[in-house]
Amino acid sequence: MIDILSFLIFFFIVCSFYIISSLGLNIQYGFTGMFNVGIAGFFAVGAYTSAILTGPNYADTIFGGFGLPIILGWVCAIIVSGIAGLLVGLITLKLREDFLAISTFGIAISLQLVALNVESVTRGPNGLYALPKPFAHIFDSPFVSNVCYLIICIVVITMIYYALERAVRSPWGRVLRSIREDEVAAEALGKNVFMYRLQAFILGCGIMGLAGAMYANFVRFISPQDFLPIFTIQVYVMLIVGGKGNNLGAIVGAIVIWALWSASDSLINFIVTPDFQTQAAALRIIIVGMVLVLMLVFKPSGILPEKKHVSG
Amino acid sequence: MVSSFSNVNSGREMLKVSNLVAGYRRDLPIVIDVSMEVYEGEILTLLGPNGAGKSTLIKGICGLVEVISGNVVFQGVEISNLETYEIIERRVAYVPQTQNVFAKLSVSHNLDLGAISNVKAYEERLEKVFMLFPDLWKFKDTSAGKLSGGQRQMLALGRALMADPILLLIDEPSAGLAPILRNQVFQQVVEIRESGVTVIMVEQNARAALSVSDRGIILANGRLRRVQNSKELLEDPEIAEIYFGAGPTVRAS
Ligand SMILES: Nc1ncnc2c1ncn2[C@@H]1O[C@H](COP(=O)(O)OP(=O)(O)OP(=O)(O)O)[C@@H](O)[C@H]1O
Ligand SMILES: [Mg+2]
Repeated sequence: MIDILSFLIFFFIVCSFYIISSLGLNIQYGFTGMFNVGIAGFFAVGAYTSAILTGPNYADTIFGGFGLPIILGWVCAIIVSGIAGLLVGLITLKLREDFLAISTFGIAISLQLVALNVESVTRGPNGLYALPKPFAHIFDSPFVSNVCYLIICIVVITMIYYALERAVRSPWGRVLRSIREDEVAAEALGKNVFMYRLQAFILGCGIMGLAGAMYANFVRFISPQDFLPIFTIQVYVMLIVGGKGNNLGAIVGAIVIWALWSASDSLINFIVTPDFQTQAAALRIIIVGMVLVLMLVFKPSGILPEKKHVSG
Repeated sequence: MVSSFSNVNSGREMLKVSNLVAGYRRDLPIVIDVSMEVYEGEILTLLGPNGAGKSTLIKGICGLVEVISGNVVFQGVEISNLETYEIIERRVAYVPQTQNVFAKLSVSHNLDLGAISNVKAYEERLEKVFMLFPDLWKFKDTSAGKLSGGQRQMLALGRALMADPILLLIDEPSAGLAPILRNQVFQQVVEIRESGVTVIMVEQNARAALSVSDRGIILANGRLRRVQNSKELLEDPEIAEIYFGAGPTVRAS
């Protein structure tokens, strides 16, 4: 019983990181139509920022080990990934949509390579370990500290959800949707399209960075392995299946796809002999890919479609 | 119906276009060496065959195409080097010729998008727009894509008015409308001017447009051909032959 419960708690904590990333993507892709394919990169920036600021002092790094409070690590993660979003946005947001996708993808890969190679800060492939986890030093039992962590996740998700709901209903959010519908027309109405896109991009990246920071302080060990492009693809599938342009859809999609991903994982472990398990892991991608295709064919607007008339 | 040219003459110059060369690419100018003035309180109609560069000229005024040379001065300030949003902030509003509403968004969402910064007067302006276009009130929660052509045109006009403009640029407000609606649109343009807005409109229905406007400008091949008061243009046999020849639906080309 307690096993199932602790599994569920673990499941929902990890799911939270996807939910938060999916909400961050929703403001960029769902509401503004910006195809950011660098989610893993901004997630990594947040994770490394918090790891460096809150983590211990390692013998082989020249920078880091500040041992700051976790909450500060998270706030700084939002700020630093927001700044990363600003820089990337300044370069890419004037580009056509397909170029935006290619360049954000490239930037995410480069960030991962930076994490891999700037060993004096990130310890390269060895990663940053022994990161602090909230409440872990107060409660000995990992079960209790995980319960606390889940509560933190729920509080953070609730706050982000309500903030985004307010934002997209505000005049600002209404302009975002007009840009998504027709950029030129929005410009003809006197909207500073570039500024709006940049703001939405920064906001989304900051949220993704927070997800990364929360991930780092939960698993307590991060390495460049954790920030592969597959993460970006997962988050897209979650948002599209859940319903882009709907914040509740972003949350539901993340839960559904993460459940499917975890279930197919267990299934593979169950039916495939250990020798083939690495290869069989690719099956998960195929299963999730199929769900995406079926969804796009039969219900392209997602489980919870965008609400047509969001009143102001 | 024809308003007197003299009261326009007394109006102050609001917009001055000097030797404007503009287009979609630097090496392919569409509007060539156009100079014109617009006076406060007038309705100015822009006529010319398809492809003459009428739409491009008004896009040039509001910064939506590249100004290659020459300049545009609005109320004493050069605006030809400003971004569109900076020009619109100076209370210039523009209604595009086609695809001029956000089809997927509701009518009231569309109207909101027209309003710029001044939130205080928002309710008041919304009320004015609904008064001028009662249909919009009826359909305020409908997506704009479900409106008829005439209603869309009203929405596009109403949305432009939400910005509380002093200069309104309208590209073919009567295009695709049945004759009765066409006259209604021109009436509305007159009402808009009556409320103190200066109007530049591009039109193909030359006779109807000229009869509500103060002056007309004729553009061909990107160049200015004539600038005259509407009355004279309406009575000019040459113009009549080209523009009013075979009834109001024929488009000169
Ligand atoms: N978006 C565009 N990109 C490139 N060229 C364009 C574009 N729009 C129009 N043109 C070209 O500019 C020229 C003038 O077009 P414009 O739309 O200004 O004409 P118009 O006088 O408004 O004609 P109409 O009466 O058909 O609306 C045309 O030769 C057209 O091919
Ligand atoms: Mg035109």
